Formats: sequence, structure tokens, C-alpha cells
Amino acid sequence: MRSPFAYVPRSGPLQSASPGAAVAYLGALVAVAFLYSSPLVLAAAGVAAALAGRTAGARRAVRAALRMGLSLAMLIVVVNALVVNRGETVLVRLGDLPLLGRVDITAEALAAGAVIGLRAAVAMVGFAVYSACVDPDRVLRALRPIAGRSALTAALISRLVPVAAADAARLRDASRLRGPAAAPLGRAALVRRLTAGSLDRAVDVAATLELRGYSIPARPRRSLARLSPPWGADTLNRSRYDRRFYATGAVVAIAAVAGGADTLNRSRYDRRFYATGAVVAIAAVAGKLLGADGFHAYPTVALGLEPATVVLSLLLVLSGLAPRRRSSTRNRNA
Amino acid sequence: MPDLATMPRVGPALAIEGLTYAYPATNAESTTQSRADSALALRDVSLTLASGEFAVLAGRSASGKTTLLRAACGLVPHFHGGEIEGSIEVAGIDALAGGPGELAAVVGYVAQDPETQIVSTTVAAEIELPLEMRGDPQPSRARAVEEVALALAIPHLLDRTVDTLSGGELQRVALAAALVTRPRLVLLDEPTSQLDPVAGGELIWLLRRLNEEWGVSILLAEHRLERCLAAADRVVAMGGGAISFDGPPRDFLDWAQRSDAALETPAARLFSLAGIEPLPVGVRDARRILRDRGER
Repeated sequence: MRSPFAYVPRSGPLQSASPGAAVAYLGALVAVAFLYSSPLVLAAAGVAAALAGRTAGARRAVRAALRMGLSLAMLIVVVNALVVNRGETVLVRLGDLPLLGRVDITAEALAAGAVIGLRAAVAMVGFAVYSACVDPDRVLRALRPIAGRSALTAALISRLVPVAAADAARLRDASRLRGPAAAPLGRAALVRRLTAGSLDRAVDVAATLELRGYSIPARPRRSLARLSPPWGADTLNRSRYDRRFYATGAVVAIAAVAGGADTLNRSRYDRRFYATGAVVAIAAVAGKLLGADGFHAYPTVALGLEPATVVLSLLLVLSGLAPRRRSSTRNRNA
Repeated sequence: MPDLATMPRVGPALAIEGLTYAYPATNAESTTQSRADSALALRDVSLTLASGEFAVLAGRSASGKTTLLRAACGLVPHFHGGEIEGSIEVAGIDALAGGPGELAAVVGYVAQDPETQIVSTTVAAEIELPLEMRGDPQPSRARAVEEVALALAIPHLLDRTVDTLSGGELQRVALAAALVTRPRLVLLDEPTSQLDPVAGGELIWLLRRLNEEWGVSILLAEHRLERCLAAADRVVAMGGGAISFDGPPRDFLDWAQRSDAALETPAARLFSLAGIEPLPVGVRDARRILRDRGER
């Protein structure tokens, strides 16, 4: 049994791009979902993420993420409607309920819940596309110089999750084969056995890693360790502007690491994804400054459809086509 | 990390002297009784494996085979804990002073369950991992991966994801990952237990070929001895944590017939019931013996 979110190697542009480029592109789409409240922009970001996944061949992952994301969104809408009494348009008065007190279902609470739910769904689709299209081994390789142990832990988890899923399927099959008279294997029992089995496997995997030389200190690649940290050395001469410049430097450094750590594994598609991610990020910030996020849930729902909102939404949808493979000259001529 | 260039290549691949070991006691054991003699997993084990030798480790379940292999690669006591006495040297490196990380340069280990030995997503990345851990440059890593993939006849698997592989393919990938650093000693703990008879037989003869071509020493723990006796130079039998037999495969069959019938191979049992001598170490040997008898 294979998880729909498991990475599948393909020769598409998103799969071929370095992890930094893929993260910059998909991260920009998810970041827009967290920056904006306008349902139009959120829906556009969601369409872009889903389109990116479909174009990259991760249809199963997108379908599964949409199913899970929309279920979660529905749950959020219901919970928000029950716990938030704000809003002027009362649709239903449920009276006093135990624990919740007076409950009025308002159109505004439903709309606010829908926005939060949509945001969660977009994030889930973005992560699903990342999981199905970005090779964890390349992520491990790119992050090893920066955070080797954390990267390896993350890679191991991504390896052990499908193994645990296969174990669960085997345990269920074994339970069915015990015959109709046997008590069915409950979820709690399954989880208990699965947890015990996973811990055993984790110990064996850890032993394997030891034998593969995991505990050998890697040869130093750069002399970063020789640099003194920017804090502490110059405590007396600190300025109130230091933090601003350190923060800017840190952002630039992270961007440089994301782009440069995987030097050996760069792809010809990297520029496309870095550029698309940058355009989306810049457009999102510019749109925010131009008032493209014209949505307020309370006290009454107000949805602004300014030109900037429409343009940003269109741009987002178009960005979903970035993983599309360009047709070759031969195909065009044919 | 040991420097492979300056390491002695002529000494024994494995030298164990007076090894006694007990796994850590559980809380209940430690509070109710002191470490009894019965708790020892290994008892005064002494074993030397020459460079380029292929030895089979035989024995019933819980006879100490796995523990001995774990000790030879440093997992015992460094990973599993416990109390240990004696000495273990692997290719001149003191295994008790160092650990599995230090020994990784000279020892490869393949365990019973291939699922727990695979940590990467694709086959190529899995085989490359030990070299990457060692800090080898990319071109030499790519060359080494290709070489070992060719030797194990798995170049067609290199781009596959590990979750699409069969048990036999996974076991070959695990073996490739163990061999890619060109270790002097490879330890295998029942590597054929999850394979069908054909795949199991193929794996054993693949090991023999690598043993002959690469000069790598092999210590193979197996229950299905009929598969591997013909490929082995020597058999070491264990019982109750101690070595009960150490010698050539044919002598082992005679010893098993007298001392531990559970370790007899089916063909040897059949021959002994029929009163045919000598006992065969494999199918080819059995055919030869029967042909010789027919000619006479």
C-alpha cells in the first residue's frame, strides 16, 4: 500500500528542480494563503497549488489533500459557527447549549470559518504537492551541511510512515484471517501494536545508520565555524538598529543557503521556480499595500473586489502552471 | 575514522578472543536476581576469520549467532549495552574501544529484515548514503554506486523508489549498501529468511562470487544450511552462546549427525539413512557422489 503523499520520481520540472527552488515556489503559494483573508485570493492560491500538483503529475496527492482539506474546512466552519457569536446577520438561534452557552449561528461566523478552513485546505494542498514531488533524499542532501541530524530525522520519518502504513495493512489482513469467530482488531489495539512495532523498527533503523557511518563526523566543507557569532562579541557597542540589519542579513543568508546549499544538484528548472516564487511573493506584498485584501467578516461580511485583488488572483492561478513541461520544438513542428 | 590506506590488509579480518557477553538485565531481573550464568548470550567465544574466508555460522535459535555478528560490527556493546569481557579486533581495529561508526569503514552488516535496513527513498540514494556519510566526493560516489550495482546485477533498480521493490530486491539493495564502501568483512544475519528458495540460492552464490572476486571475508549466519554449505570454506556451529564446532563443511555434517541432528541438512540426513558415504554438502556434491557410486 502506497501513501498518496509518498514521493514518486518523475522527470517533470518540479521533480527535477532542486529542493530550494521547489520550496520557494510552493512556499510562496502557501505564504499567500497565510497573508490574505480575501476568499478570492485564497481560492486562487488553492487553485494554483492544485494546478501545480496536477501539472506535476501528483494527482492522487492533490485529490487526497483536497478531500482531507475540505473535510477539515467543513469542521472549522461548524466549530467557528458554534463558538463565535459575533456578526449581525443571525441565521439561526439555537438558544442555550451545555458548555457553549448561548449559540447564535451568524452568516459572518460561517464566512470567517470558511476563510480559515480555506486557508488550511490551501496549506494542505501545498504540502501534499511538496511531499509527492520533492525528493526527500535531495532535501536531506541539501540540508545536511546546515542541519544534518534534523534533516536525517525528517527523512527517516518520511521513510517510516509508509512502512507503518504497510504494517497496518498487514496487521488488518492478519486479523481478518483469524476467522469470523475471532474478535475484530479494534483501532486502539491496532495503534498499540503498530506503535510497538514502529519503535522496534526505529531501533533497527538507528542501528543500521550507526553501521553506515552516521556517527562519523562529516568532513568540514566550509570554514563557517571559524567565524565569530554576530552576538556577544560586541555587546557594549550595540545599536538599536542592529536587530533590523541582523534580521535582513538572516533573511538574505537563508535565501542564499536555500539557493546555494544544493549547488551540486541544481537543475535547469530552478530559475523558473525561484522566479515564479519571487513574482508571487512580490505581487502578494504589493497587493497588500494596494489594498487587494479587501475582506472583513465582522460586523457584516464585506468582500472587496478591487482590480488589484482580481489581478493578483489571476496571477496566482497562472503561477500554478509553472511546473508545466514546455513542448519541444520537434513536438511543435509535428 | 580509520585511514583505509594505512590499514593492514594481510591480518585476519576478524579476531575474537575469550568473548563473554550478557545483554543488559531488565529491571525485574536486576532487582530479583543477580546476573546468572544462564543470562550470558556469548560464553568464552574465540574465533579467527582469515582475510578472504567465507564462513557459515550455524546453530539453533537463541544460540548466540546474531549476538556474535552484532559484536563483530560493534553494535554489541556500543549500541545494545550490556556487560562484555574479552577482545574483538576487526581488520586490526579494536571493536570494543571504537564503535560501529569507526568500524563502518571495514565492516558491512546485512540483517534479517530488509525493511529496517533501508533509510532512503530511492535505491541510488540508499547505496550512496554510507559514502556520503564518509564525505566522499560526488564523482567517486557515483562510480562506486555504479560498480556495486553492476556487481550485484541491480543497475536497473537504481532509479526505483525502495517501496516498489520486492523482498529479494530490497535484500540486494541492503547488501549493496553494505558493500559499497568495499569493507574487508561482511556479516550477514539470515539474509535469505525472507526470500524464496531460488532467490535465496542466488544470493548465496552472489556472495561467493563477491568473496572470490573482491576478496571480502564473509561471515554468514543461516538456518537453511543446505543452501550455503557448498559455497562456504568453513562452518562455525554455536550452541548456548559457545562455539561447539569449527571446521570444513563436510566435517560439520559428520559432527551434526553425531552431535546435533537439528543442524543436519535434508540431503545429508537422506544419505545417512541410506547408508551412503560421504555426506553431501550440496546438490552438486550429492549428484557427484551418486554418480561415482553408480560407476563403481
